[in-house]
Amino acid sequence: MIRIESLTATFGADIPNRVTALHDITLDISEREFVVVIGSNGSGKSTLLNVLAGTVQPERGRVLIGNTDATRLRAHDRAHLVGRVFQNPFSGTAPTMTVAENLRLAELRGVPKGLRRRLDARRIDGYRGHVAELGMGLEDRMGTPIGLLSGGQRQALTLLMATLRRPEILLLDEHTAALDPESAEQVLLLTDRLIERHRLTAVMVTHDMNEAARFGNRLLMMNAGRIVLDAAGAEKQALTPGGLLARFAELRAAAAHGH
Amino acid sequence: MELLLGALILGLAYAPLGLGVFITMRVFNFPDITADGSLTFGAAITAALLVAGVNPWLAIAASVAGGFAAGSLTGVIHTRLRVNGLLSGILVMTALYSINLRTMGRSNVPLLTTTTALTQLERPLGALGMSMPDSTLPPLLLFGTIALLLVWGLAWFFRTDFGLTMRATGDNETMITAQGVNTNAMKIIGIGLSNALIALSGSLVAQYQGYADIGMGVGIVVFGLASVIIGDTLAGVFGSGFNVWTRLVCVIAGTILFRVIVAAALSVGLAPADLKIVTACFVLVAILLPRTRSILRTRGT
Repeated sequence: MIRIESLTATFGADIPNRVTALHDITLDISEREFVVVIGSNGSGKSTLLNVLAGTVQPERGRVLIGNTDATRLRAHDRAHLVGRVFQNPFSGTAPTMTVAENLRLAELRGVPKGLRRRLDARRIDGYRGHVAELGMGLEDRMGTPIGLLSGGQRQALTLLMATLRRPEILLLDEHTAALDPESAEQVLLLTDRLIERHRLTAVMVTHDMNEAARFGNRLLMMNAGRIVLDAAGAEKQALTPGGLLARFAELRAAAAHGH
Repeated sequence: MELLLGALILGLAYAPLGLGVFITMRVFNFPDITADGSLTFGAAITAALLVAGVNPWLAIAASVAGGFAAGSLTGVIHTRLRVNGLLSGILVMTALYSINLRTMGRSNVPLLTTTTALTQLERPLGALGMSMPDSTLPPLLLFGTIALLLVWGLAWFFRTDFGLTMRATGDNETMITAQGVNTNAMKIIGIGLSNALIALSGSLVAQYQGYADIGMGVGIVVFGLASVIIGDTLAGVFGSGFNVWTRLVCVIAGTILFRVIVAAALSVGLAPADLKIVTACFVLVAILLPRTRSILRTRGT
């Protein structure tokens, strides 16, 4: 379970034109919720994800992940709780290291790495099973440096790495935005499947209204650092890409008239 | 032959330097100029302790520890105090100049009459009936053994979970942070390890040459880099750029080959004074070469 309590995050606190990225947000995410977050640029959706990941420190408020108060935990100190997939397919993997070596490091997410050689044939065989399930034919390339693989393949592996050790929460930061349509679709379906299989709690930020309507069981729309729509259950299922776009148009019109 | 043997011994003495520069330059992609100071630091510690009559093996251990301290200080300045990497190295290198002078007490300490690890080896080897002219056997055996042990040890290390973590830190910080690794700590340890090796080279070279000199580290990081580049080229020839074992062996081969080239160049009349400019140009060309090749390729299409 994730709980965010009256969270405020500000950028450039020490300069005149400071930007409040998150404005007193309170949010509860239950176990097994797959939350899709949408919003225009500067709405605060990425900041929300970064606060959960620990790469942005909130100015006020609390962040609880599972039973842990993670508010002051730096990104590497809360890695045992959090699985992350990034927008840039190059961010999630170590390019000169092999598929197996990357998976070994992912298996050790958040636990101490000792002076032992543990990456043996038996373990690699275990990884091979997981990699085969990605359906990308990578099971024969366990010894290949990941940098030689395509963006879609790397993103699928990052996804596998983020879930290899079950996280309390899986954070997906526009993780298909940099892929070609075919790879994006493949990675999205894989995401859905892994979340279902491991019964994960997940937060996915996206720009794509089709994705937002199709995936997840809860949707948050953000605007100017606030949550302006929170739809779950049947309400979420009823949302359409067109409907979401109309909501955005309303927000823009309100902003133009108001203030 | 005599020339080749001398180059081989010196190459093996500088093998730890090559491996140290490999760690910072190739694993971390961090240009660490601390090397210039820490090589001399290793030599200075060894010289001071040997003159004081300390056991040579203890003196070598102290040099290694000193190098680690110097390197991790650069790491701390760079990561914790957020100073530019190059500047962190320059600061520590400059500070080490004073420390080295203080350690040695003067700018040059001769070790010709003191007991060194090499003179200690001479007697047992002689008792076994093993000897070579000009007492070249002890350094050849000692430096060769150390180089082999280091390659074996580092190849093992870089395949442990901790070693994988260190490689990933140099490869992709975002990725390894997401796996729960404090990249600052990894860099401090890595730069420390690199300089421990470099100081070991300083200690070995001082004992082999029979003196420690305040200027012996000047430009040494470029010498180390030249060796690594030659090693990379050899690794490329064998076509296994990612295999840790091959790469480390090629670094050692690179340091030896570099010394052979230097010895050959000096013997055909290169003035020793010009050695550093020639080496610097060599490194520059070696760095530019792949780039010009790709420029030519894009222009061709």
